[in-house]
Amino acid sequence: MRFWSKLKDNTTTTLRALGLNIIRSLNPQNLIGKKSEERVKIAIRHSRTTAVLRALIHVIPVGVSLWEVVLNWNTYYVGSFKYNQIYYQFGAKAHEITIQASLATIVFSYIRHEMAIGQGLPFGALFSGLQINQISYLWSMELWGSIGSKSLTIRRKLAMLAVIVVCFVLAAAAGPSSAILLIPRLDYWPAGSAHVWVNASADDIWPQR
Amino acid sequence: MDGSSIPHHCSVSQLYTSSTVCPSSEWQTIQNYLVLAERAVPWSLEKELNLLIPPNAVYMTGFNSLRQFQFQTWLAPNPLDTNEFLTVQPVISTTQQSVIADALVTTGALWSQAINYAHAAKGHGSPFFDQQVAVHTISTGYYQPYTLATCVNDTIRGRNDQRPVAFPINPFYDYALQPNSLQYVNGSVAGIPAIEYPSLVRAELLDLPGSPLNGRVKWIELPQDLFNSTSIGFIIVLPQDFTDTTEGRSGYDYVICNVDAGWGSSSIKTSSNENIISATSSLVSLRSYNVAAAYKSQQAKNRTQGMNYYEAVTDLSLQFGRPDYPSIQIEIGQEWAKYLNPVVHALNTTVMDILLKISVGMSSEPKYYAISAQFILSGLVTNGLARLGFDGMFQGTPKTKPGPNGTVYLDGHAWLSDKNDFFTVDTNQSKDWVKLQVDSTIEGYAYNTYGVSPKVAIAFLLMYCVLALTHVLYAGISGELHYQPYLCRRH
Repeated sequence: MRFWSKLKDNTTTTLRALGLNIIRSLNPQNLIGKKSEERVKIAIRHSRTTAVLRALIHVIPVGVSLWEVVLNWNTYYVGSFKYNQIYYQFGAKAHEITIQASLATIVFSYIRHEMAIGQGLPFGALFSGLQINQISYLWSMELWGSIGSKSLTIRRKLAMLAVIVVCFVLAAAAGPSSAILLIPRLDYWPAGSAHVWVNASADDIWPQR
Repeated sequence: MDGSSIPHHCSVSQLYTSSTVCPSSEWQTIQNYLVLAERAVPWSLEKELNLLIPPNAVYMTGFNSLRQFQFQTWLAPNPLDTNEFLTVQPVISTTQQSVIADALVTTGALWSQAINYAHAAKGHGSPFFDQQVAVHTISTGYYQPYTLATCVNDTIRGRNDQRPVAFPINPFYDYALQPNSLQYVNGSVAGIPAIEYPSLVRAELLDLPGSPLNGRVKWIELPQDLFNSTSIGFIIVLPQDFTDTTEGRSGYDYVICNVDAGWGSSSIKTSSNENIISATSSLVSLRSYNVAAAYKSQQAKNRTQGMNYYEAVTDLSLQFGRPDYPSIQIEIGQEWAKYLNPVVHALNTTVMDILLKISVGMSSEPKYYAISAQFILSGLVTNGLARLGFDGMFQGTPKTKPGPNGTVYLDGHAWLSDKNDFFTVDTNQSKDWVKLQVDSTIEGYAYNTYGVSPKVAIAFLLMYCVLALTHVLYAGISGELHYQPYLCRRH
């Protein structure tokens, strides 16, 4: 029974990490309604397995990113034709969405850490993860009001600023970067070289007088 | 270049076809250019918009190559007054060296056969036959002729005219090195600086062999101490007899030319698409700092003069800027030069006469003869120089590999190895041979890191991967997780 309980718990964690919690809610037993009571919620878990399962959200975007990097680094000749541009663009967009979800997870992870066991955060910083796809957050009142808050030490402010700036910049650059690496480029490809000879001397071909 | 190696039959040419081994071979192509240059756009547009657009190039053949032959006129600075331009526009021409173009095309054809089923390096990707176009280039150790012809017309005042002839200067030479020899010649209708040649007086031109009804020519080897940067001089006494006694226009007219030819370092390339090989083309090798500086200097000067930008030196397939480019000057001998102007028995005249009459047409103005002579002379000299070494041929034994049923195939992967040893020759036999490197590229779609954008994209994605993996490691090491509460519906 304990095994099934743990499996169920890990499945719940995985589905939540991948944003597929709705699958779990299809089971009527998991709905909270008139005839069932709300379970006690666990605020903090101290379990490496659960923590790693929650980090599964990074698998797809990191995997695809590394694949794109390796593909271009090792070079790959596609040929004289490529698929319709639309396939590459949609693929890059889907990759961008997964990267942004991954970065949002990192930002929320930092926020929850500070809220739960840190010094806390100003109210304006709580919603940064929701705006991961809006680069304008970097020059918004919410962020700079939080930076200007007197409730945080300088070190905490710098840490918060670093995490948010890095994640937001990466979120903005992820889409174009993925598109650049995913769409094959029309270019000249080195195709060998050879020494050849002509049975005449340089003086025969290019005399000066 | 004393003419001793040229077959004797090259002193005579056919009207429509000619041998490919003579210096004057395919002079008909120059004729085609002159005809096209006369009427390249509809007459109405030419009149209305004041346009005259000659073709950029015509094409000459080799044994198995098609070569691009280019002409261009340039505004020339006046060396006696650098704030002015000369009234004449010298003509520059160039074409690819025939024997090298043939070797390059042969290499390209063999490459197409060898590479057909080879794959990209390390087996990454599609076979190379799947490409849009293949380009083969020789970029080092290759030279081709660049010829500048500057011609002006002048007069002979009968048999008592003891004035020495005066050759127009090469306007692209740095005459700061020889200021004293330049002058405006007294009584000359040319109106541009020239250098007098004391060994020939004008009256002697009336005794040149040939019929006065045709143009009579003379090639002159000019002394280099006086005519620096001149390969050979040329004079043609025009088939006219002016009885007009207006000063400067009595007696005969003649055209006198300065020809400066040199070997310029260039790159030559050809391309093939689906086994159809295109014409060769070439670009000037602007690796020399001096050439690049001269090019920029000329552009800057043209802008300050208020010239239209397109009149500046912008064509990198043609350059002329002594002493920088072409860097190797050629001294042309009279005995070799005479084969540039063979006799055409069918018309009982010479090639030069035929071309002059075609290009000038019904006009009798001597200045048009001078303008046409620049194109013709530059073209004939360039064509002749480009055919030197015509009996040379591509050499080299390719690497092969056995195939099924005892067949033999060219080993394409050996060509891709970048060891440049696909062809082999006998070391002793080839010690004096010209050796060149042919670099091949194909155009197609590929994943690579060429350029800035893929490198920047890789940097961003790797930064993301590092950040994400750091987060995973932190979660795995600390084991801490902050549980997101359920969203629930309460009653």
